[in-house]
Amino acid sequence: MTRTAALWLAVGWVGYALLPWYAIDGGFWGFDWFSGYPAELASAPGLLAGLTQGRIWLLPIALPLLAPVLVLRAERSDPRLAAVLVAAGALGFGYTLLQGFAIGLNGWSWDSFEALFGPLADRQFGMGYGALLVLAAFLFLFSHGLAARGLVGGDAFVVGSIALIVTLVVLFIFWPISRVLVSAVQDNAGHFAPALFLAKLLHHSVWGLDCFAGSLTCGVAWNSLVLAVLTGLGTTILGLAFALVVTRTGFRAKRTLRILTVLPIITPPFVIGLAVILLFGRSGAITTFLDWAIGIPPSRWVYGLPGVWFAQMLAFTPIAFLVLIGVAEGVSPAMEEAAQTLRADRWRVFTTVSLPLMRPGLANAFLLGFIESLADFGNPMVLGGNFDVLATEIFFAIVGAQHDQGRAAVLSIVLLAFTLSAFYAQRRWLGRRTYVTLTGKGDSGVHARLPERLTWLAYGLAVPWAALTAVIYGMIMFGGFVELWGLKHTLTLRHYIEAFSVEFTQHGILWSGAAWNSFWITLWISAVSAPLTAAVGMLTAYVLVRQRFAGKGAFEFGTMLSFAIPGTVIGVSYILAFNVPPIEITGTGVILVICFIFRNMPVGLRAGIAAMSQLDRSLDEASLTLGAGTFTTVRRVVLPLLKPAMVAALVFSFVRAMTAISAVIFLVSANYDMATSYIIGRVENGDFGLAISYSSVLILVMVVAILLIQAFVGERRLGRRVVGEMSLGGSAA
Amino acid sequence: MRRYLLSSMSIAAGAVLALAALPRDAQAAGQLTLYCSPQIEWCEIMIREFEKATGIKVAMTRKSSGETFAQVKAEAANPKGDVWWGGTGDPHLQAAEEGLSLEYKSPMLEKLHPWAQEQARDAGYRTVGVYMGALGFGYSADVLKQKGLPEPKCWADLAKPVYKGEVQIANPNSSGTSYTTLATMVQMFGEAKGFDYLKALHKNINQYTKSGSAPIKAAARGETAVGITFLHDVVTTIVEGFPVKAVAPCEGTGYEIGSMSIIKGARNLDSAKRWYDWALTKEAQELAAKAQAYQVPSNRDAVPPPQAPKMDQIKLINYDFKKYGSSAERKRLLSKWDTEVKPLPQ
Amino acid sequence: MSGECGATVVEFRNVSKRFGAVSAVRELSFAIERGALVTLLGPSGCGKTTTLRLIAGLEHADSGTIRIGGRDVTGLSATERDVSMVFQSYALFPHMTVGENVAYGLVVGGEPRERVRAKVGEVLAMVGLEGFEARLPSELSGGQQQRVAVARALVLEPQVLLFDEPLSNLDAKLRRRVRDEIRELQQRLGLTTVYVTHDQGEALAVSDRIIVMKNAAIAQEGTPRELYERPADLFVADFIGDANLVAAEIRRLEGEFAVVDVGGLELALPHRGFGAGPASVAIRPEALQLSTAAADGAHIRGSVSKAAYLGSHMEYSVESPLGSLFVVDRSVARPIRAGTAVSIRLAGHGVTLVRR
Repeated sequence: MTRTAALWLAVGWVGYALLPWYAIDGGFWGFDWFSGYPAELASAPGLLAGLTQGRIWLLPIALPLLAPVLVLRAERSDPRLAAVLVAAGALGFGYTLLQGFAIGLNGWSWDSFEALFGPLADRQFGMGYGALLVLAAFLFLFSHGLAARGLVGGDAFVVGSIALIVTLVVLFIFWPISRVLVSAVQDNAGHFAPALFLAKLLHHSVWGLDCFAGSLTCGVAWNSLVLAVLTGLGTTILGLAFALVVTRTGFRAKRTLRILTVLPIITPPFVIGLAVILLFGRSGAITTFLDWAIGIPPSRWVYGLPGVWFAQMLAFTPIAFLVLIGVAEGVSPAMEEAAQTLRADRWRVFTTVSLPLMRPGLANAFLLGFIESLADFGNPMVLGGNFDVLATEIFFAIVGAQHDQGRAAVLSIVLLAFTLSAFYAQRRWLGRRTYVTLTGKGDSGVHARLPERLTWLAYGLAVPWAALTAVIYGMIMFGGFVELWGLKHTLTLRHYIEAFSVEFTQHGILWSGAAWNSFWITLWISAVSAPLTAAVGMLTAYVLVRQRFAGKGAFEFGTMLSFAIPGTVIGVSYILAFNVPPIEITGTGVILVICFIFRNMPVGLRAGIAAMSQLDRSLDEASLTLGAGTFTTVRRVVLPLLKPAMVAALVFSFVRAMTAISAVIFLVSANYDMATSYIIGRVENGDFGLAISYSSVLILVMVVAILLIQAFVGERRLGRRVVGEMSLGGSAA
Repeated sequence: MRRYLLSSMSIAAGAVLALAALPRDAQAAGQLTLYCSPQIEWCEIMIREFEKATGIKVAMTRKSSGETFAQVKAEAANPKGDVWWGGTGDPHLQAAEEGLSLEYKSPMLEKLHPWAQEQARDAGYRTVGVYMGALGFGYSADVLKQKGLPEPKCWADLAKPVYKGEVQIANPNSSGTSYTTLATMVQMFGEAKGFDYLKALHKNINQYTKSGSAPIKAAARGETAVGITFLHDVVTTIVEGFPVKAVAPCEGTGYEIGSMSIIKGARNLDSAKRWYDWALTKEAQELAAKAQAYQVPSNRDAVPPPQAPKMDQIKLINYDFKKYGSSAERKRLLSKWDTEVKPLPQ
Repeated sequence: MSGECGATVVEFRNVSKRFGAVSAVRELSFAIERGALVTLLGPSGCGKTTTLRLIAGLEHADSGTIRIGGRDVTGLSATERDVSMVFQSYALFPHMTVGENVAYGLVVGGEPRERVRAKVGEVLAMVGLEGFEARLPSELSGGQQQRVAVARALVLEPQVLLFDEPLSNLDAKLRRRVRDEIRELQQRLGLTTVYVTHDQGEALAVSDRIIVMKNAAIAQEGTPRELYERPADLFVADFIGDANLVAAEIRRLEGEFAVVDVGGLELALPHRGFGAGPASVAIRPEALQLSTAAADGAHIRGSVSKAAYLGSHMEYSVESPLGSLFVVDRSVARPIRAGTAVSIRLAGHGVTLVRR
């Protein structure tokens, strides 16, 4: 047995025989369980609970933990070793989960088990770290066994990674989502009702085309689709314009431009929508000015498709920019130089070489914009007018007057179908071509200058857009310093004081502001979830791009699911799945962290895949043949070359954790309130001053965090000469 | 090899952290987990005073009543909340209907207004009214002047062609406020006439908003002339200083009863009952004004805030909460509205 | 350089590898002895690179066993095998300096820093790049990058060193120099080396032994001389050097030799297992001797259709009853002009019986 496998076996035993099996009330870092340890059930290890507390169903777990001990001395190539590890891992993992699900708060969870084994008086709680370690041990013993059989080149790290990611995806994406999607084919009382499903699916309000017949609006499905395509295209084009301006021109105010483009993603929801209304609404500043200056009568154009599209473009262009900037940098100058030497002029170089080589980036940017637009519910909520979209309909099917979770599930399925179709379309478009541009040959070329007209086009798009962003943010910041936004514009610090006042008493600092509590929680949860999200995303990207294994397509598909499903549905599904043992984490910070990891991981994944498909495979192979393990290879060769993508993933997951709202609404709890849900509460009550000043502080915090992330991750050093004053590397903001 | 170990361990560490990075809640006695649906200031004031009065530590989550309902329903297998205070009555009634809340007869019941007692009785004492808010509308004086429009006084005025494109109301599918309006029209004018009115009104609607209070906020900022909503929301807007006026329609109007329920399976049942009783007292209900909440308290002795809509000047209809709060009737009316009103051309 | 005793370092036994429906390597068996430089030679798509990657552990065999230094490594990953590889693209880590690139294998292997520094300096000196430690790969010329790649592979003192078309990115002049450097280094250090190329000249120049591959299998293996002088079949004959393939008839066998009739000329050639009857012979271009003078003795008549002057030698195309023949003639002083009638004679060497 390898030492790693033996180590995992030891971990399993520690989890089973030493650590408390069930979740501890005092918290993960709380060590008050020592007092009752190990005799009390609440803190007893699994083995002891099985022997002395009547939890006899925990005893069989010892068997698969014992079996590998027998083959401790077996050679790595001994087929018996592989067989024992695979069997023990699979059985142990399966049984441990099964007993967790089968026996819950009220004895047997399933009637069939009750019928089979008779009623059970005992009950059990959610799993704690003992169970967690045992499960992890079984999982990795299993993957070591598979690796010993030569699966995926016998690389235990890769097999382990795949097993881990698959398990996590199943547990935290498939399982909860299936819990809620099942209600699509149920009526409100939980009975199977396929006819109702069809009726809801084919309902007029979903697919109707009344807007062509003078009615207010078409079916929500069409609305969402049109909006998503427009947003996807628009953000990709704008993102490309920004990426080109930043990477390929001598534009002077690049830093400012970068910060401006990133502002929108770090803006809590609703704020952009409100600012847009104050500028372009019927009584908005710009509308009034246009009326006064050139006599354009005020109208409500901003409510509906144009307004939502506009706000989404503001909000999601930065995502496209983050994806595209890495790709635009990654395009090998040598290839552009090659095209130049083949007598192609700048325009031809761009259209025939640079642009096609950016295809993975473009496709990913579009996909992200498309999905974000579909899932966005803040902007349609504020600016939608009569333009209903799936995300808002889903939200209100759950929390609105209908209380129809089934309808929400049905609409989610429609939304999911759109997302997945887009995903497949993207794959087809990219096809089998390779986009490797970063090879192991030192490449010292200079990126081709953009053709003249394109430069101006990029400027023409990026600069006014940046200016607009600046104006909107000016408005927003201003809104935090006035008495009543949109009415009384006397300057005041009242809102900031209310939210963030600090008093110095004899007991030390008293954080007396109303926002501090949710502020610290938000910061802490975002800081915990961002690196985990980036790690899971990058690891998954590596596995997907570099490894061949059966079921890869389905695997990739699965990782996109949680991103594609609206947050509201995720929120409800997480409550349904994780409010009861064996995984009972509602009302904790853990559920927020997990939700963020699996909801935001696809962004890191997309960025990682796009960047990694530009990396020549021989780079990692060289590292492998030099004796570095896969993990070392990933850490020392792959990740440093993926720094731009990593920054993107880290920044994005941090920011999304701080600004997410729809899923969070259901997952926050008394002790774990998040900034956004606090802000929403204020917005609902019309208290914009405090909402905005809180948002402004969050924006500031995020800017600082982004700068820290950049400083921490550092820049990618390739030794290419640079164009003009441009600095290399993946600084994302 | 050493690095290899490290590598596996870091995966494991990641997994462990992901599952258990943060502490869990403590669920000790002398505690109360409150789901609070009105505005946060009101929640905070209530909690502060309750903690002062009883010494029970309150952990509060603020969510809108629809969100809270969805959460309570999703958590039904293992409830995490104890008491759900405030928010419009329909989700509370729905929760009562689905058996998500606990039957409890508070000794304070007899101190309440008849409408509150009636609603509690209808719900089998699974919920109780804590305040009442009448439906009405508000208009922006500025916009009316600018457009040269007359001041609307009655529901019927709003359906007049002069207000074309100037009236805003929420979508009854998403907003309880708007559903109350729909049910009010049906009760006040009869179902056929009520829907005729809604169809006529439809021609004047510039936007069906998502949230019930959005129309009055739009009116406050001049985005629409008239917004249909609860009168206390109009009052709040007025108090903030916006140039809007509140109108209690001449035909009479419906109302909501902001309610309170104990969640079935509450872990801190005693604390929950203490909150329940306390929240119905005169003292607790008079806290509303401090939070700029201008609803009418359900306790007869509680003095409404001076700015609150004067109930004696409002003609209230006899709103049938039992019938119109039931999910079957609601579904029927909403789908009728969806097919008969919403798709009409304007 | 660890490993048990025994001359064989790399051994393939019935190794097969498929990519989907395509067989990349079929039932491959061979052995590579210690200290030898063995070249895998063949046209693109013949499976030579896959074979190399199978040795490296970058691909894994579907069936068969691979042993390195006597150890069964079939199931081991690249990391666990004691081999290093020089990639066609060099695969230098672009974000690391030359020094860091070369040190990489030692650093991840946990060598102490002092030793790493010393060894990196030593190896860089060996490839003539002392003092380049701090440069980035992008700041080096192609040849220098190539040498860094070699240094990076050498520094680990692997049991087997693998080269995947290492010269393909260099210009012709540099190619010869680097080729000789590699060979010199290999011999000096006694490295067991597997070298993949599609260039037969390169293969002949550097190899102790050549394995010619065709269609996922071995066509022939042997020393350069064996392959050149006694190609097993037309493919090998044609792939290694040039050859004229001519129909012939084996009259009879006489001991080791076969008496072969080639266009009326009788030759005694090693019979190589062929029996009497129709056969093919491969004739090297320099084995055909042309003369314009009236010939005596056995010869074939032909006429020159094309003549090209290449400095060191002449190349002719000659029409003859045997078909169109390609001839190389070292005597450049008196070239034969196109259109001239010639008599053709066969030299004793450079003619072999081959399978068709």
